[in-house]
Amino acid sequence: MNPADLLVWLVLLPVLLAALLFVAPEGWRTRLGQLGTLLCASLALLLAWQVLQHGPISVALGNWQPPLGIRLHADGLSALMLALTALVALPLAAHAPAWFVRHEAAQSRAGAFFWPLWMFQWAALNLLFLAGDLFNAYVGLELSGLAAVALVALGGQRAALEAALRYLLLALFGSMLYLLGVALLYGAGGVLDLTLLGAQLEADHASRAALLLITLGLLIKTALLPFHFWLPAAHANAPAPVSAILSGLVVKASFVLLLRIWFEIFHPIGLGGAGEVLGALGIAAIIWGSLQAMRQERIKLLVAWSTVAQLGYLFLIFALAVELAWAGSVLHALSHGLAKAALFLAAGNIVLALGHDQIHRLHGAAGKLPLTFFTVALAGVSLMGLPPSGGFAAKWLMLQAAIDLGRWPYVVAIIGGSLLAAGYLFPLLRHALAGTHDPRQREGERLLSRWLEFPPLLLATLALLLGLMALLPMSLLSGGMPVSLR
Amino acid sequence: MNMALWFTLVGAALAAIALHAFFSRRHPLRRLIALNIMGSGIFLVLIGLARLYPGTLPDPVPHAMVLTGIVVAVSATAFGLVLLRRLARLGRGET
Amino acid sequence: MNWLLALAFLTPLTLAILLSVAELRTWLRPLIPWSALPALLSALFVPLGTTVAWPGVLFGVEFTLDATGQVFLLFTALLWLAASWFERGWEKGDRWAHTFEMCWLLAMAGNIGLILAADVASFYLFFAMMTFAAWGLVIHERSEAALHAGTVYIVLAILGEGMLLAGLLLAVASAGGEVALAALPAAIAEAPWQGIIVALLLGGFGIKAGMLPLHAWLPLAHPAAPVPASAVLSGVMIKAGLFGWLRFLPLGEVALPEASQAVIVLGLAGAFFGVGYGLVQHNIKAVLAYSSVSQMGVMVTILGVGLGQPALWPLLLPALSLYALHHAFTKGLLFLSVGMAMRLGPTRLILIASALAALSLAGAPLAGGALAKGAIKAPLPEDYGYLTWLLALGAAGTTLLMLRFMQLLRAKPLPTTPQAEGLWGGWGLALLACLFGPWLAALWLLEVTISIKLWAALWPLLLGAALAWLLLRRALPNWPAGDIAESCSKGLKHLHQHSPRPELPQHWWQQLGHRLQQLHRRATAQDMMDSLSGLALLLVALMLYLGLGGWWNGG
Repeated sequence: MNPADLLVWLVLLPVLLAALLFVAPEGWRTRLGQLGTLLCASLALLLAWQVLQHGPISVALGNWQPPLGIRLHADGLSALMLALTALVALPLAAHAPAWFVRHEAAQSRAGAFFWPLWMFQWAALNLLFLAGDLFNAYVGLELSGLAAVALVALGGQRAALEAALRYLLLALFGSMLYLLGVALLYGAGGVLDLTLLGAQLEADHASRAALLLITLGLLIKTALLPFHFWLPAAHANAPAPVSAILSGLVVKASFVLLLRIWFEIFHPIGLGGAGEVLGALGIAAIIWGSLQAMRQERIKLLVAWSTVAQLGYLFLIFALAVELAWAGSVLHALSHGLAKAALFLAAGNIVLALGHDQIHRLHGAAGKLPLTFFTVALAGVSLMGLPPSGGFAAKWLMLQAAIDLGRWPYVVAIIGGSLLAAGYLFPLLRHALAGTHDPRQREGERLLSRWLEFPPLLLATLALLLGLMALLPMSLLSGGMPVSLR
Repeated sequence: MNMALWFTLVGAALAAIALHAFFSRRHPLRRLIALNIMGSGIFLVLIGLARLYPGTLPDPVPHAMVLTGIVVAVSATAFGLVLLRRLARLGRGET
Repeated sequence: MNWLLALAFLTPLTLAILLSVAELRTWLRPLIPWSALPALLSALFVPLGTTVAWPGVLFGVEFTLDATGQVFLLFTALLWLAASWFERGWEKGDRWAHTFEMCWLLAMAGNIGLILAADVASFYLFFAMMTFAAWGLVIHERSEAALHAGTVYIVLAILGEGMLLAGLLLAVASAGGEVALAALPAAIAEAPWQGIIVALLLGGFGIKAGMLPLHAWLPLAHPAAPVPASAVLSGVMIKAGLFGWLRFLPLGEVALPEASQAVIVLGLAGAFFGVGYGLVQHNIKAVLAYSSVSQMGVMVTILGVGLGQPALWPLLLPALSLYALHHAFTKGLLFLSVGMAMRLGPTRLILIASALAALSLAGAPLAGGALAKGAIKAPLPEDYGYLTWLLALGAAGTTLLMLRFMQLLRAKPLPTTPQAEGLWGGWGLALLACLFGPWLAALWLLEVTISIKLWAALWPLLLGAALAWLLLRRALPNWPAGDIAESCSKGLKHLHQHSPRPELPQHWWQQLGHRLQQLHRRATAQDMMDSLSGLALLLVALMLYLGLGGWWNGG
């Protein structure tokens, strides 16, 4: 297949699959979804490989060149995010059906709708990562938001529906701000293509207002403090596989778009102190999110608040605008994506196996679910930024950048954030590791099937491997580094 | 004052009113309506922007954006209404 | 020989990973005692300067064997080997055995790997691996005490990791991005943030090394852990802190008078506090733990001298290494002997071996301890004469503490079914190492002054014995192990229990706290957040707008 066609198929194929899955008989959906996942994931990994070998790939749809035509563009950053999505999707395809079957007893047909919605979400994510212009990104953003809300609503209970509704309202509000910003930008320059905008944008009131609106809209979608309040409820009340998708992937998509807009369009003409604001909010998110995570009594809420904290790290790049921090930030997005997906799936397993999600009632749970708690520990290694995980590599790069720049508050925040992460993860492990043997459980008896336990373990291992092989994503990134940061 | 500027100003005013409503109201239905009004305001601004300079032909790109935006707003509103109805039923105990 | 060096840490690491596969366990468990063997062989046979580099891993990692590393690798590997043999006979296949074995192997891999690491990232990796795996060893018993000890341990350990990461990264930055360990001491010597880096490294490694006042985890963790784990915790893992100092601090590069004085004071304080507080312990393993605090205090004191006298460092370094080796073997043997006594009762053989180890620790003439003590005193110049006296007094204290230990060991009850099958091998190896290790190392490995001054070694012993005769005949009080940590956690609990109840606010600060709690509850209610978010939106928009303003106004 021509590399340029890969880009098109990466968007088209999941959409087609989503449509097919909506009409397919419910009995077929799992197999069909798994097959489709395999196909889409191979395409994404193939594309990442191509970008690694030959550099960025661009394609103008129907040979209409920008500014009129639509351009899809795959650089190092897109390749990594596509690969991340694929790597989360593969274990998920094994885990989700098993989870929904176990969960089904209490719930209605949530499992049947998971597959089409997830494929829809996947298409939207791919579109966002590949979009070469702001308007296509808007379409991706909207599709992703709608699919995410529908996925949360699969939870079915009152709390899930309320969270979904709140999520819907805010996502819609965010994308309206974004749309207005894009329109203003278009009014100022007459183009929407990212590269063209970066080349010709002037610093004037219109572009200032546009940047402001776009940033606010995307901050709401990425749930940076103080716009984080919708996230814990939405992520904690969704079905476990959905939580993994939302926390691992969906919030990263709007972040990547923000990263592109700031550093590919606006950074060349200077951003003044605005980056400091985002950096400071990032620090605040790390602290507040971690403190809230420590106070939680339900395991899924703890994990969701941890996402609020970990998202804070991503925004430090806006204040530390240098190459090292950029690489660190992207690496953090990747490792958090893998580790958080693993953690949410593991948390879902714990809830399934024990029938509750109260942290203080976990006594001895590690003895019943050794593999699942091993996964929690492994994912925790990455979240705490311990070597050799991807989280460590990311924080190492960010710390180096902060020290080089002499930005001490950021040094303290990055290291302090790791300590705080330990502060909410270790009590969890301690509760699970305490306690005595339950005589009712026979030796070697499995509470969960392999299909439930191994996919999250694989994800956590990948998060660890990401650090051990940190040079691979970094060499991919060096090809897609924004010109202004080099 | 030309027509385009008038549209833009009216749109901005509508969006501002709706913004206030979105944050000051508690009931999700009211907030959904506020969002729709805000959407209309923003679309008006976009249409105004398309023809800000009198004498030139209107630019089709903002029109395309408005169209897409309307489609999204309609589907999201429909979805929001379904969720609301579901919630209302749950509230009455008819799960 | 590169492969042997790599096998040194890869063997336990691989074994730990493979043990997670349930089907392989029966096959692999007999291999556990042997997993430290490649490391021991590396220490004995791999030529100095051998290097293994893997540029594709992490940001490029490197391992090498240098002279200091060789000594540390030697005693680390030997004690791990002995303790692993002992562990096979010790554990009774309880429910957490698999977890324990994996943690055991990971801690071993970390301990060996950090000695061989030649770049910052891999050093930090293995150091952290050892630290966190050791948590699994501490909490293994799952008793209330073990979990409490684990909590104190992990809180301090995480704090230490944070300080280390900051210190190491600052060091790397001051070396211009150079990550090779060999380049760092010189870079720190000239760094603009020298004071901060040295303080962070002293604190970060000080926690591991049990330096006062960061020692609080040690007397809690060592008694709580199973016997073989206590042996390696107290014998070799605390030496990793010392080793970190030797690797990173600008010793021999530049004189740091303030740091030197502070470290000497802390070291001496540890040396005497360990003895004093150890005496009022009734748990025999807590006595040994406080003895470790005291012995590490001696090493910290010598380190302090080195910080102040760069010219002396070439003489102090081998002496300090010898002291570390001697203490590792001796303390390892003492802990394993406690284990033997728990399974067999205090038999004559165990008592004699323990007495020999105790005498060595106290510095009896001709024992390894006397050799080590002589070696560290020999290079001390005139103006450190007071140290010679204080160290001798410390030896008297150690004698006293060791007699207390023997007293408690003799009082160990006879178990109902004495059996020590599978324990003799590891214990015997530790005994041999304790008796001959220091001599062999001093004669063939390290360039230290061998001074045998009979009277200088003897009078502290006699003084200690006299003190023991006075003190040990009466009933000693029983103070809780973990001194500072206990006071802190009791204080915290106290505070917690007496925190202002929401319904009964009395003082203005309690009312304020009550109000804040209410406000927090209301503000975090979802509905409220919806309205507040509008305000937040405006605020963030304003801040961003002002931030961007700098761009336009500034041109």
